[in-house]
Amino acid sequence: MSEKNPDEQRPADTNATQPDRPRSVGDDPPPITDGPQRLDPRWITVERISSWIYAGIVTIALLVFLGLCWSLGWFGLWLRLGFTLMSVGVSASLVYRAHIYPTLWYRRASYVLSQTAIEIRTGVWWRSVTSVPRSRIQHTDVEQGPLMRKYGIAKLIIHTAGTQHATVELIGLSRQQADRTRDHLIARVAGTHEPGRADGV
Amino acid sequence: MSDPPPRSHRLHPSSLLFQFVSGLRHFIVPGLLVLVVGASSDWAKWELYLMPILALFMVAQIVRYLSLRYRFDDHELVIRQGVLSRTERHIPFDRIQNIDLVQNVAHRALGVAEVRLQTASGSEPEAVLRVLAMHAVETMRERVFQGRERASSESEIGSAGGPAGSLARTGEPAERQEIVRLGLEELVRLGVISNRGLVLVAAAIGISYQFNPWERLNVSGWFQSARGLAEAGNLGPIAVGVAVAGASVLVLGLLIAMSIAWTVLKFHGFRLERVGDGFRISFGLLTRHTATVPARRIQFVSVHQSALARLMGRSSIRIETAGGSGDDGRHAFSRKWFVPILPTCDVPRVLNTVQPGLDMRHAPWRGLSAGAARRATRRALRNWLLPAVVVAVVFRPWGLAALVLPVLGVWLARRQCALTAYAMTDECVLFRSGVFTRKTSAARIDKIQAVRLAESPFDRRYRMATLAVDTAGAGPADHRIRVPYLDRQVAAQLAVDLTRLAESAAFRS
Repeated sequence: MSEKNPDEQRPADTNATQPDRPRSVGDDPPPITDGPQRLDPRWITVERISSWIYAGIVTIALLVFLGLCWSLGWFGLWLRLGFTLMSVGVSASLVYRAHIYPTLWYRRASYVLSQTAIEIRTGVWWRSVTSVPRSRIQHTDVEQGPLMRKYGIAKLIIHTAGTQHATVELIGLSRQQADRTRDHLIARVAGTHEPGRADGV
Repeated sequence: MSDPPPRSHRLHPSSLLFQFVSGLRHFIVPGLLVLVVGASSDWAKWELYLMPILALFMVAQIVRYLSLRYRFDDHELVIRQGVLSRTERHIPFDRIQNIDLVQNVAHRALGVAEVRLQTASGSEPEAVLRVLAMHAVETMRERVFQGRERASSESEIGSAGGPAGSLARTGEPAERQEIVRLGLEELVRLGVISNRGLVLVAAAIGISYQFNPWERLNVSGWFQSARGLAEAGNLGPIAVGVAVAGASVLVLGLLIAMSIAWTVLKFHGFRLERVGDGFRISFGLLTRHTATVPARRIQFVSVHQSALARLMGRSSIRIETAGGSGDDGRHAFSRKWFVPILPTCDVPRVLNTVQPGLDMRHAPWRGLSAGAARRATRRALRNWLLPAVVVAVVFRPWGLAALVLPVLGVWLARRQCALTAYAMTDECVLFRSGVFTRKTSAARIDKIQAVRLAESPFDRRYRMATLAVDTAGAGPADHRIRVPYLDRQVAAQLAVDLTRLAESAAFRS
């Protein structure tokens, strides 16, 4: 996962389509078919980096706290031992979250873009399948953070008129994949129905 | 009215008065607080600070009033506002979900009303016109609802329509049909059921924290003297018990009376009518609320029965339209109080006017997974048994009462499982749940926005899943379609079916 994205200097526009963008990174996005589609593996790297940064900050803070506890003799012995044990636990879970979890998540996540709906599967422990009928899509966003931009990853956000699932996120797509999916969803939304009728509002 | 091309209108001149008064409230409340709570010697200084602000505020209000204009275009309502930065808001008629009116006593005396236009977006009303004369409101209703019919008929025919202004009134002045009218007797019942007295008590407590009148009232002194009285009169524990019970009954009675008074005041003259293609709700003795909801904007219908209401054979019906769901108290009255109280046997008739053919009682109800009750029982035992035993052992003689808790917990969990059910008809998804307050809801399939199937690790152990159906406008009805403890396969199939049906239903009509 160490290849460099040649167009990392691209301006930070999040919504423009760039059909002439050189496709030098990763594979071409798979064509839009009825089968389940995987996310871009580069997402694992992005997720790992950001989670490692978080884990590092928390661990350092804990270490500083423990160091002060032990060197200055704060709290009782048992409490100190307890804190130490807890910190080890927290750090271990953060390491799990940063290193192992993204792979597991990636393996489980997929999406299906069918004629009737977009269906998104996510979750490792708490799993969910969210289906949004195509006519219910009000609008979509493609979002990229700085780290995501560096690795050519994007997040597709689908807005419906609903309440609980008013925004449905599809994270970990490659930029091209996100753009193509977006274009596909939008074309369908714009083309086939008279607004205000089919969106169920 | 055959007005020449779009003529713009102003708000009613009394708007100035109301805006000024309502704006003044912002100043008066802190002012009063200073007067009451703080030392009143510095009051004069406060006045000095307030005066220029007040003057500025007044000018701003006048400018605002003069700059706000609205007009009806062919398909939309246009509201222009502002002097320096001008905003022009276009609201297409067919995007307006409902028109709500609020009239307090002063409004009614002057024959004006505050108008709130709701669209599907956001939690706030799209536009608040404060205030319009009643005949202007009537015009607005006509234009909005007729304009919408015209827009839809035009798009069906595909013609461009006549020139602006020559609005041919093809539709007869929409016929009205009364669906529900609430008399005093029902309102008293509603007062008992809704238990508003507690809300008033909460408000009183809230105020008391601000002003702390306890010191002056010397409540503990009362207790002391009551105790002294009891001792002096040589009253036994039974007499004291009777006195306490009597006092509680008195307080309870007072609370119920307050609740009844509040309810009668608020819902006096409640009427639900069918007006043309929509529903009109109106109620209120002092502040009069009127709302118009187009029938096809209704997303979700929910029938609620609290335990007390069931005892009296009463239900209430709430509806949801898209948008305006953020503040369910003030802005959503038309949906929260669609029918605040109704004999349960009368519910099918009213539902039938909302959604023809919807029969909640005889829907093909299906229960949860066969293993649901067992799973719920285990869960209840896991949660309750250990703490109850610990309490029982530690506080031995009296603590043994805690052993009732696991039994209750198990009963509740099993009841929940037995009472939760879902159903699918050609047009609707139905869901019911609740042990004490029972809620039964129906969402039209063509109003479904998203479907989610969720599995927790525990679900997986039992091969179960939760199915959630999302619709627009969730809030006032206070009930979501979320069916837990379904067999995994059943739930997955349902999710697929619902998504497919939702997509195809959208294009059927």
